[in-house]
Amino acid sequence: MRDRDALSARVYVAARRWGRRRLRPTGRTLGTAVALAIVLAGAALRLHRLAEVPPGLFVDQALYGLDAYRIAKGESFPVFVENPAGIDSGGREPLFMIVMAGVFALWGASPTTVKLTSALIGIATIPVVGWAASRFFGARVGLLAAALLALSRWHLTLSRIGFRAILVPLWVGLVVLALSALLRRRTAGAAVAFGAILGAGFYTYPAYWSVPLALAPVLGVALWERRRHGRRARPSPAASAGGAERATPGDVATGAAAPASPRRTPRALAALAALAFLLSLAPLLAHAAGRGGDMLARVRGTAIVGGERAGAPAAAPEVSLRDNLQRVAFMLHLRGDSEPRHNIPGKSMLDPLTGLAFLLGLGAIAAGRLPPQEGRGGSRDDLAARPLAAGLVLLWLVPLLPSALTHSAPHALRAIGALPAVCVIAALGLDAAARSVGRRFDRWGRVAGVALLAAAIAAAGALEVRGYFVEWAGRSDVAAGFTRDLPAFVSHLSGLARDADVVLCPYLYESLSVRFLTLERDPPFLPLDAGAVIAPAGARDRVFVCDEPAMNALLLRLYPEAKEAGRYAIHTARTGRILRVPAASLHARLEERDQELVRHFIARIQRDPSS
Amino acid sequence: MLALPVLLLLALFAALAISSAAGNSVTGDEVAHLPAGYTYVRTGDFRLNPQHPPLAKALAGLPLLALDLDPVAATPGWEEADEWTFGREFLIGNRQPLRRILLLGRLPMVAVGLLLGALLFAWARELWGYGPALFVLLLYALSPNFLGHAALVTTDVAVVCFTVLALYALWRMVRGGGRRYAVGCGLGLGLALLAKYTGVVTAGLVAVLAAGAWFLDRSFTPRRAAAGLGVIFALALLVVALGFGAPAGLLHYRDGFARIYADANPRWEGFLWGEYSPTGFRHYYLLAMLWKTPLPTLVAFAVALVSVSAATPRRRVDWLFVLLPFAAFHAAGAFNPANIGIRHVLPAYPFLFLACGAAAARLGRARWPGRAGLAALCVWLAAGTLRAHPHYISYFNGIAGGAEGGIHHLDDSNVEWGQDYWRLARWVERRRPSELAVSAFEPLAPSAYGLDYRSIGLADVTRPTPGVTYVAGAHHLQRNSLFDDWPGVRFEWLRRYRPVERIGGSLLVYRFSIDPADEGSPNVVYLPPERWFEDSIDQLEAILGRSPRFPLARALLAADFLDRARWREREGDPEAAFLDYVRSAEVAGGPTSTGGGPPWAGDPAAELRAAVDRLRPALEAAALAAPGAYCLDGTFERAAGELGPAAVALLRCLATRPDDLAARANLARTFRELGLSTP
Repeated sequence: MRDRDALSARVYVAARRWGRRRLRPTGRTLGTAVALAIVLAGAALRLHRLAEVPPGLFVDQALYGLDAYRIAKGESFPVFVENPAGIDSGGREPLFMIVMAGVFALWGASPTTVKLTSALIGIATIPVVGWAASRFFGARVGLLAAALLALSRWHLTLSRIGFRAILVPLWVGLVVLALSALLRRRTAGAAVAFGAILGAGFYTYPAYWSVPLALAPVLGVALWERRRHGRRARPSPAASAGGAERATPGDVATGAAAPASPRRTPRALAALAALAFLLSLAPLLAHAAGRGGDMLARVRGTAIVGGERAGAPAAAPEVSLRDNLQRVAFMLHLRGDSEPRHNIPGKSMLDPLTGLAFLLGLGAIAAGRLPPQEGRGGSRDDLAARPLAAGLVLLWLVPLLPSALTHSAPHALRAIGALPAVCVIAALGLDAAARSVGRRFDRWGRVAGVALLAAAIAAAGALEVRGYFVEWAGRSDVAAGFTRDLPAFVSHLSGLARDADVVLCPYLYESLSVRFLTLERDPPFLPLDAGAVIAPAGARDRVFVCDEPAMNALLLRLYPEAKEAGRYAIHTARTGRILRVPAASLHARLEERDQELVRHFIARIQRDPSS
Repeated sequence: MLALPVLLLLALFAALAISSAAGNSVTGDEVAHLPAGYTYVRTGDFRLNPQHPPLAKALAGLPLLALDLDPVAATPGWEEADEWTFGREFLIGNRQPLRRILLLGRLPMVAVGLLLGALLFAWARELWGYGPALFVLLLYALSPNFLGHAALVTTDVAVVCFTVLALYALWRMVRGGGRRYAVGCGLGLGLALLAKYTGVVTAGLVAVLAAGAWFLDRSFTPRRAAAGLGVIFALALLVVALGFGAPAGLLHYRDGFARIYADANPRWEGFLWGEYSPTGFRHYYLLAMLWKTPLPTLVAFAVALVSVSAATPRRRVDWLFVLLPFAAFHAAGAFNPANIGIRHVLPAYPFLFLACGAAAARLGRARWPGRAGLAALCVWLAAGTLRAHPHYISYFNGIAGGAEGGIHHLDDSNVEWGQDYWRLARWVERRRPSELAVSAFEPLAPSAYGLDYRSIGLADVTRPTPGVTYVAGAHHLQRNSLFDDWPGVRFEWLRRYRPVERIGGSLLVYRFSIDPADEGSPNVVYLPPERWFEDSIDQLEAILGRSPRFPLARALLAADFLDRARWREREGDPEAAFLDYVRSAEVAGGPTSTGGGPPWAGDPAAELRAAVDRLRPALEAAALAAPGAYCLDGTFERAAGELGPAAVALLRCLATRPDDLAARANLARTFRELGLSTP
């Protein structure tokens, strides 16, 4: 009995310590340990079975991989990655591929290292978002936000794919951190850093464009509030002597606090930040000016404005916008992205518990029940409460616009910028619930509150992890979406290429995935052209890999000795055949009429490939 | 004086509901409910429609006793207890006009709606005071969902009314009222159970709310709770036993409950926002409420929810009684696979209205901006509801894009339940269309309303005939299949065409034209002939992709190709025409479920043979411009399995190389495979 009492006393004390609003050194240690545990858990989830889940290699992953490979080889260092001629999607921002190039330099280029790039960025995002949240809402909210992000299936999915959209949440966190530093230090360096980071985000993914849009009104209101505070209550010299530690929001406007380093007026800071922003953006702007607006091709191609449904003028664009807005509004709780690569079709983007915590958080914001000011982790970078709440809500709503304004809403990639704010709002909800429980049950309230938080996080995590590794990873549409069997197939063909010339149909030969999977090997495959069929040279067997029935029929007619070495179904629903023609047969001379026929066939296939 | 606004609001509700009732034709369940109710009160026999408890139906049947109606026993369907046959005969073939029978049957439902309004006002007044109670009553009196369903002979509004009665009495009991409130709650619960089987949720709520009240308010002791609940459930059982025909009332109730899904179509699939599901959607009713509740009511509810956090301990019991039933009926809806209409969660609405009373109290206490906001909400609500009059069944708020946009979100009794046939009859009388084709929810055949029409068939759905006036119900336009045996056959008109007119809230009028002179006309959907054919072929090929042995679809596709071939031939495109002749022959020769030829009068093979003779000179003339290439094309198309294009290419090839024996052999083989004799 005594042991039990001692244990419960210890639990109580530990919980009390952790729950303290102003963390003392012991509390900080505990907080750091918890933060570390969260990051480690997030890392483990992002790295566990990374080679197999998701399987295969999707064409966009291969595209990024090829870009990164060129960068790693030093062949290019683009401001903006242009698409090859014929692909009309407007190109890509390069930052993700630059990071990937670094990963390739360390661990080589492979489907796993493509995904590893995302995983590393995803892992880095966890502490950044947690830290950013703690700057404004306290250490506990920061830890909760980091934990929710670490366990989020949405973030987990995108952290393991290898798409550049995963940079957006990281950049949201970095921008908010830089803003926090600017508000705290009010130095030229902080302003430059903020502007540079804000501008550098434009090299991540188009969905990032919404982030500065969301921040602009917040900054405006915050500055206005500071100005108002400054006019209303100038701090006394005694207060000023307290230094930056006690600076009020009005200090920026008045310059009343005694700074330890030179501080600038808001106008000067804004000018410096704007300059840094423009400088970091300048290369991209210059490139865009040279391209004459083609960089927006992808954005234009996906936008709903001007898009009419098939046929008669059945749907005005505003109908689609209303519909899209609703679909995006419900994506967190009811129905998320229906693309199997991004989400489990039919499922919401949040698990039910995080969804509930998010609603509680919105309620807490609406009721003005943010964590008390003294509890924000000891930081001094408070915005006034209203702009702070408004900023958080804007950082949730505005990044949803890229999904709301484009087709295929809700879209997990285009809305990913909202995820950090969603996690912070859900953390605020959990924090408010825990504080409410704490108040109600007095002595044991903190223990109950901590237990509630731990239970909620654990349950949410269990749901999300199960959703990802069991439900999502086991789906056949996910396997098909990522062409699960392609790497093994290419590996098999590479094996065949050791003692034969392997000839691929155009869609396979030109496949970016195949090209990426055969990097750094002498091109082991030949394209299916007239030369490959009509006048083969060399003394090796020739293996033809094609799912074009007409082509296979022709080959069998030309080379009756050909043997079927296997069948496959990659990319298309049709079954392809692997035909092996012995070297001896290849030397048989084709009649001129047959040669003409072959050229005609090849031209047709190249002009109109079935895939 | 204080009663005057209440009476005025109730009178407004009655006026709107009755005028809507007078204009609505017979809706889905009324065919069975009203005649069954009449038989209950006329004969005391409960055989008809046992899958729904009798109270609401019997109430509706009461006024009919005053009419001189055909004897029940002489009406077809009575002996076999076939409620649908009996119902149709009773309504159409009776000696009294349909309109009179229907309106009289609906009046008691309006009376139940008035009782519900009065109960809501009384409860809200005790909760929030007189002003907020008036606001609650206004929300109710101008609620399109209640105005729509209180004007129909269904069980939905009755169960709401008696649920509110039961929970209001329970609340009074918890609040220290005497035993008479336990009696009131027991009566209310019994009547709710007798009104609709959803009443079992009310029974569960009574127990849970009593326990919750004890938890939150210790003055309500367990002893009082147990005693009260004993009285309540004993009385409720007694009411059910008596109401379902003593002495075997409870057994009847149990049997009926077991047949609750007797009317369910096993192939039915729920529809929500563009998706179909045989098991329904968990969030269906949540979204249905979001789209079918007037926006001012939703705004008031949101304001009310903010007030919850400021509730005093005493208020917590009140909020429990307001929010728990709301959540419970939604939870029941989440597990109800029959996603067929907002009416299934109507019992949640009174509690939403009661909660809104808190918003009114809060805004009323605020200074002028709050009061102005409250007034604006009232005006907004009144304007929206009056604008929707009398089409309340198909009401949707602005989030869904109004009634016009709502049909893309929900179907069934949310949009169309057969309510607009009298309006259609009047429209036809005014417009006198030369040919009328209808596909809509038909509780009674449209001919019962004097309409001379034909049904819209698959041929119309895929390739509508120019000049015909098509009237399609919003529900049918969204159905996942128009044929039970051939799934996936549905209208694609909402996606492809814009209706030219709307009748009532549920019927959409389409007229098509392929005459270029009609391009841009608002009175028709103009389709260029190419698209007219393409739309049809596109749809039929998709249908055959899902159901390859659907003979009607196959025959229609063959006809489409043939008609397009003739049209293309007239337009001077012999190659395209020839391809269509070939495709028509191919499709007509495909597999059918009957084993024989398709049920189609034409002979595509004969048409193709004739076309070969007719078109050969034109094809050959074109081929002379590029000698040689066509021989290779023909070989290629044959290898790829494209017989039509292969035939065209080989014919051209032979025009330039008549001695090409391989091409000649290939052509002969191609024609054989097409089922034709060698040209």
